[in-house]
Amino acid sequence: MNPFFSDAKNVMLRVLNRLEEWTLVLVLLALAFLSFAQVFCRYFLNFSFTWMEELSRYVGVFIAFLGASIGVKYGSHFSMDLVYERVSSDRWRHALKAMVNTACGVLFLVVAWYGWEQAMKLRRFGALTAVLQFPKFWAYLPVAFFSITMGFRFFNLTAKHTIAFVRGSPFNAIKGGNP
Amino acid sequence: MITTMILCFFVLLILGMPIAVLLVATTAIALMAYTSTSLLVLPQQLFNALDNSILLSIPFFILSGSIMTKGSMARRLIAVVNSIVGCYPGGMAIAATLACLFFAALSGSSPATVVAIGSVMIPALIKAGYDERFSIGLVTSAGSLGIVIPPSIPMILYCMVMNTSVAELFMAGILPGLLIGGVFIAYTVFMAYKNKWVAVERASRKTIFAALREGIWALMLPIVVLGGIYSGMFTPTEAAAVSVVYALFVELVISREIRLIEVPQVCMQGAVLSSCLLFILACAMTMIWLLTAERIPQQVADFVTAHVNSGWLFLLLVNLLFLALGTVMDNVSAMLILSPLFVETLNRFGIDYIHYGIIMVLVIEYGFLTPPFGLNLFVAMGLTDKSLLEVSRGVVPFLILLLACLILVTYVPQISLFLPETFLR
Repeated sequence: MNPFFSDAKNVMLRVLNRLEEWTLVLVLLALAFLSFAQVFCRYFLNFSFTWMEELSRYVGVFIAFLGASIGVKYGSHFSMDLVYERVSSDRWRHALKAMVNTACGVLFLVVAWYGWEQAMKLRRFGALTAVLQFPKFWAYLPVAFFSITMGFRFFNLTAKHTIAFVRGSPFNAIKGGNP
Repeated sequence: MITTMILCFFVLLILGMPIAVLLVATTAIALMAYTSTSLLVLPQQLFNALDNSILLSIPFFILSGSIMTKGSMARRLIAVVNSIVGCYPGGMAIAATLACLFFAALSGSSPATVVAIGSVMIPALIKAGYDERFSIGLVTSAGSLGIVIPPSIPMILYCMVMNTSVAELFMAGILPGLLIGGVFIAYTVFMAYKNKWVAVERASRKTIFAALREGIWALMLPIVVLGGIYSGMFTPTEAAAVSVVYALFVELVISREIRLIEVPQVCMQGAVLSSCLLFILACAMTMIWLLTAERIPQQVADFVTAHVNSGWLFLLLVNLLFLALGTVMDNVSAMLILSPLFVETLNRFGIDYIHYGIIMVLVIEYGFLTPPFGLNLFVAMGLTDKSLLEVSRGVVPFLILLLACLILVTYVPQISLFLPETFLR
C-alpha cells in the first residue's frame, strides 16, 4: 500500500480507538455525576429529574455494547483457554482460534442484522420512550452498531490467527494488551 | 433440547469461545433447532436484560474501586488500623485483615481489595519479620472478603438474575463477612503466639488521632453508601454513583493523589471490565429467558426432588457442584447460568433466595482463591513476583478455614438472614 495511505489509515484507526475508549469512560463518569446531582437536587432543592431513570437504562445498554466491543480488542472477555495449553503445537492453536473467532464473528453479524431489523420495526411503529418521548429505536441502534464492530473485530482476530497459522509464528505473539 | 444445549455449551467452552458469546451461540442454536421463534428475539432479549437501572451500579462500583485503589484511601485505612491494633501479638497481620475488611466495605470487588491492601501490606509484613508464605496467603485470602461485605458486584449480578432485593442481600453479607474475618484474625493470633511474632510498640494517642484524621474520609464512605441505601435516601445505583463522586472528590481535592488529567486513564481498565461483565450478564439472561420459556427450571426441580429428599442434601450437592465447576469455568458465570435454573427447586425446598445468594457469593469467593480462575491468586502473583504454586500454598490454610465458614453459613441460615429479617422485612 502507498505509505501515505497506510499512515493515514493508522492515524485514523488510532483516533477511532481513542475516541471509543474516551467515550466509554466519559459517558460513565458523566452519568455518575448526573446521578449524584439527582440525589443532591432531590434532598436539597426538592425536585428530581424524572427522566434520569430512563436515560440511565438506555445509556446502560449503550455502555455494555460499546465496552463489550472494546473488550474484544483487548481480549478481556472471559474464556476457557485450558485446551490451548494442552494442544501442543502452536499451529493447531492458531487454527482452532481462527475457527472459533470466525464463528463468533458470524454470530454477531447475525445479532447485528436482527438488531437493525428490530430498530427499524420500532421506527415504523413510531414507538416513543415513556418519559422522554424520544423515538425508541435510537435505544436499539447501539445493539446493532456495536454488534457489527464486534463481529468485525472477531474477523480481524481470525485473520491474524490465519496468517500466524500459515507462517507458523508462535502463539503468544497475538495477545490482547491491557487497556 | 436440554441435552443439545449442554453438549453445545461444553464443546464451545472447551474450544475456547468467550463465555458471553457461547451463551448467545447456544441459545441461537437451540432456537433454530427446536423452536419456530425468529432470531429476532436475540437482540430483544439482550436489550431487555440491560434495560434495568440497577445494572449501572456495577460499573460505578468498579470505577470507584479503581479510583480508590490508585489513590491514597487504602494507605490511610492501613495507617488507622495499624496504629490501633499494631501493638498486639501478630498485630500487623491483624491490621492487614481489618484493612481488607474495611476496604471491602468501600469496594465491591475482591481482586481490587487484594491490590489496594496487598501492595502496601505484603511487603510491610515481610519486612516486619512475618513469614512470607503466611503474609501472602493472608492478604490474598482476606482480600476475597471484598465480595462478601457490601457493596459487592457478584451480589448485584445475583440479584439481577434472581430478581431479589439488592439491599437485603447486601445486608445479609455483613455477618458472614465478619465471621470469616474473625476466623482469619483468630488464626493469625494463634500463629503469632505459636511462632512468637513480634509486636510493635503501642502507638501514642497522638499518633492514633493523627491517623484517624488522615483516614476519616475513607472511614466515612461506607457509612455514606450503606447508610444511604438503608435509610432509603438513595437506590443502590445512586449509592454507587455517590461513591464514584466521593472517591473522585477525596482523591482530587482533599488528598490530591490523582490529577484530573489522569482520571480517564485510571478508569479505563475498570470501565472495559465492567462492560464485559454487563455483557456476559445480558447473554446469560438471554439464555435464561429461553430456558424459562421452555419450563426447564420446573424439570430441574422435578428431577432434583425425585432424587434428593431434603434441602440440606440439596445445598450440599450445590456446593460440591460449584466447587467442581470452578475447575472448568469461573464461578461468577456458573452462578449466573445455574442459579435461575434452581429457582423452582429452592421454592420447593423452602430455601430463602437471600440465604442461597450468600452461599453463592461464598462459593465465588472460594473460586477467587483456587486455580485456574482464581483472580486473587494472579493479582497476588503480580504483586509479589511469586509463582502460582507458592501463592496457592500460602492460601491453603485460609481456604480450609473458608470452607469451614461456608459449611457453617450453609447450615445456619440465621447467619445470613438475621440482619435482613430484623431490619428489612
